[in-house]
Amino acid sequence: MLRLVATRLLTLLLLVWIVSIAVFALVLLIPGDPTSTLLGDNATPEQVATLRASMGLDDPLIVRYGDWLGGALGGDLGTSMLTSYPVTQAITDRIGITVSLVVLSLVVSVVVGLAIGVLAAVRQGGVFDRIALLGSSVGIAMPNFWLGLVLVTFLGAELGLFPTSGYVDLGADPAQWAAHLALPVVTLAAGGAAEIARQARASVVDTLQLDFVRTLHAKGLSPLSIVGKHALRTALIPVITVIGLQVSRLFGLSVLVEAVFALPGIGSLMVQSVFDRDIPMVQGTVLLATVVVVTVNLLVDLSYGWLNPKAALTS
Amino acid sequence: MTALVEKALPATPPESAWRAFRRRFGRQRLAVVMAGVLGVLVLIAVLAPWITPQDPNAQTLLDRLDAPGAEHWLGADDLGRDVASRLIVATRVTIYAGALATVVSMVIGLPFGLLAGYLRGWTDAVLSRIADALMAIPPLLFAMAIVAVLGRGVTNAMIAIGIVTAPRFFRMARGVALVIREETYIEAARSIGCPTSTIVRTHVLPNMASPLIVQVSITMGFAILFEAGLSFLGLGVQPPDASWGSMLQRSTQFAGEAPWLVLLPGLAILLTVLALNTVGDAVRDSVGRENRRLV
Amino acid sequence: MKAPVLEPVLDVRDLVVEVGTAHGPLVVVDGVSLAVAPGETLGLVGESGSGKTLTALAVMRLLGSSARIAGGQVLLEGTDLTTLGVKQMREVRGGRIGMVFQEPMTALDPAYTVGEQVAETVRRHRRVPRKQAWKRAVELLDRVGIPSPERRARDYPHHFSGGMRQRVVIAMALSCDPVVLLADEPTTALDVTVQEQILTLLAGLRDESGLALLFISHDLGVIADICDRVAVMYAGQVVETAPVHDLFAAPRHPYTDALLHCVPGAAGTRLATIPGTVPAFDALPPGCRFAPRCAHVAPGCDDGPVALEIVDPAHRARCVRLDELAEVAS
Repeated sequence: MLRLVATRLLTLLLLVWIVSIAVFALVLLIPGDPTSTLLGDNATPEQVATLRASMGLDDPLIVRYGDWLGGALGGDLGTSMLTSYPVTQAITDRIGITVSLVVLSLVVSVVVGLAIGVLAAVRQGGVFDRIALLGSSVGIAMPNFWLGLVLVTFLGAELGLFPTSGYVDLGADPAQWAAHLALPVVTLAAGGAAEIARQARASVVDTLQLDFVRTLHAKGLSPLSIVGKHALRTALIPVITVIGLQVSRLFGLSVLVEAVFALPGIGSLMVQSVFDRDIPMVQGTVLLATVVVVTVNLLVDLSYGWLNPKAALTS
Repeated sequence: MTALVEKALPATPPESAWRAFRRRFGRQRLAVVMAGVLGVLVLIAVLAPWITPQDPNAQTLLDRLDAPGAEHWLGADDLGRDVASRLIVATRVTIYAGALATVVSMVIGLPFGLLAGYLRGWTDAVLSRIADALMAIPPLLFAMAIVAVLGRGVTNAMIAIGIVTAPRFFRMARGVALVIREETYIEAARSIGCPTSTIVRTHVLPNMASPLIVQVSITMGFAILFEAGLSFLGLGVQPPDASWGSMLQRSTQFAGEAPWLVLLPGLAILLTVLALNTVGDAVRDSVGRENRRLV
Repeated sequence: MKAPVLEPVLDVRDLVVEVGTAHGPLVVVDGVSLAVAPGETLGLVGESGSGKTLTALAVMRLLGSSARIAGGQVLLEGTDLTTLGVKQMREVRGGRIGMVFQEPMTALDPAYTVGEQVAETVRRHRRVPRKQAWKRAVELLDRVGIPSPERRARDYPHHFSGGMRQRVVIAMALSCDPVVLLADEPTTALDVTVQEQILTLLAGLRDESGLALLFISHDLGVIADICDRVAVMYAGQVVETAPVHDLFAAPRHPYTDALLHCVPGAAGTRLATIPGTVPAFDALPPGCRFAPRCAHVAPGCDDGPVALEIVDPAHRARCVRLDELAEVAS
């Protein structure tokens, strides 16, 4: 098990390193001089030169990458090109909202997705199964931010059941915190739940056809125990992969959900930075989001060992 | 013993792979309907400039937020523009965007994937790690970052999505190349001195057809969803052009008075992506068992 | 020669199993009757598709959704299992009747240790504390001949060889002291030497605890090894049933006779095969189901269903020409 963790950690570090190169390489794609976005077209050559020097643009690329990565490792992702506000600070100010949103949505989509998928599999071919299958296809094909718009329009604005925008800190007022996150979480979780339900159904159906399930019946176990204790554990292995993919997906899509519900999280920071073409801010956000995603994926990966004792040994 | 007898008996004349595929696909009625839907959408996209009932960009302020009716079949938006006409031109933009992203994705992903799967060894290790890394970045954030450097606009946004989704084609092509490499007929072709390029053209590419269709339809659906998202944020299609995503952008402010502004573009996206996914799944399910492992 | 003097503990009477198809139900087990007494072993032999496994699954009522019991009785110690409620039936499975399957490699849940899986059965049928169930699981593993059972109980199925896994499955089947053990081709998937060990184990366990063993196999050699009596199945029917010695010495049904000639004998003898194939269940011959392949077929064979005729008190066969053929044979 220890060796497994060590190899996975090494893979993760390698992955993050490649991502850091990719993210850094973004600056190479900038057409023209980045200083012109800051100083406008009327800047004097002296102004440009001073700014270039202060931004380190005159150094060779490798040196600039080294500086940036070194800073990032120490928790310093540079400063905003527009406001000189530290990127790390800007992110930590807002990450709580995004993490609450993503984690809650992940929990909801896993619970709802698994419940629907397993139930559909057990009642394979029945009415519930058909509805679930159709529903999950629709859920996967639906733009999730559009669901948010529909929810805001009909549940928020029309009926006034939920606040339609903004955020209240958990510490300040837990009830309001939950109320403000309810619709965003439903919006974000729907697509994930649909994908998990689909995979869970397929996986449980396959598992229930395995030989060992017949042995379990012959032992006199109840269907509940056969599905819940045995089949689900084996069936979860491919589902876990899908859940791992959801983390990255939810993180990305939270940008849209934050925009719909005017939540001041990482997503809105990202949108603003893209409009401002504030490259250090964009780079920092992408890098940090990726680190969070791969870390969660590592945890998901390690859960394989528990689900599938065979994998823990061989890999 | 019985198995041997069955094998010895001449089976029904072998059905060609393509006919078997068509028979299996035809049995999935929903998929056939959805393939029809896709056909209609493409037709609308191609004919868009000639079939709009009104000028999609003409602003008639008197018609502002008109409900669906005789004058505007599907109502009018906050600037008094005809929603039906805008949905039609948006179909063109959306299909163009989805196709562009998919082509970019293929152009990047396929050659590297074939290379990695065919050469194996170090090339494969390095390319695969890079693909893994790119897949680890939340795709929407990555696409936004690329838009940040390239600048806003539908073409840049779609190039971004093409880059972000390229690892999917990479993985698919690599998988196909890995499997086919092991086939004996490749071995035979190589042993008689066929050059690699010929082997790839005559053996590898034909075998890739069905996994490719599956991946194209899925990626296209993915790209359309992302186009909608980016345009909704204002990073994709720029006004006065319309895509379904950009039509949603301003819709919420007027949703109370004009709910069709929220519902119609979203339903259009939903239908298109559902059609793409359904057709993709049906193609996957219709591939013969002998090629199943490739898909 | 052991005669069945005791009352049968498992008594299957006129069992009919139907399988649902697109063109309506199809009878695949047709009026099968079997009886096994405590300490006795009944062999059920036939080609694949003859209905052996479905008969065993019907006894356990584990036919799944596509097949169902359409008639007959399954009496276990006098209780008809076909009329039991779902819950009571679960008490029977693993409690009064144990079952061992053909494929030991896939019969165990890969996600739990073998000890956990045996203990689970114990806890399912006897409300005992976890610790006690575990202790019993270790004892059982020891009893089925797994070396250092205490350590091995903590291993997962993939750590075991096929033969060892089959021992685990047997331990599980026997964990609650059943009165009947159904063994469905328990040695088919194993190497010959391991086969022998498992047969010896099963015979030993049967003699120790006096359970009734229904042993299903297509291998007459294995049947001869372990069984007291044999029932031969063909196309869903029992065509001959007799004490094992009588069956091998004087088979009365042409199918049994043909089967015996298919067994690899002394080196150099040519292995016979039965011409033709088993008929499909939707295209059964009107009379004797074996008639199209039978070397002794005569005009009367196709007239109508053939009954199971008494040869002697312990021997029955389903053949129209029973008496004529007996004369030919002798």
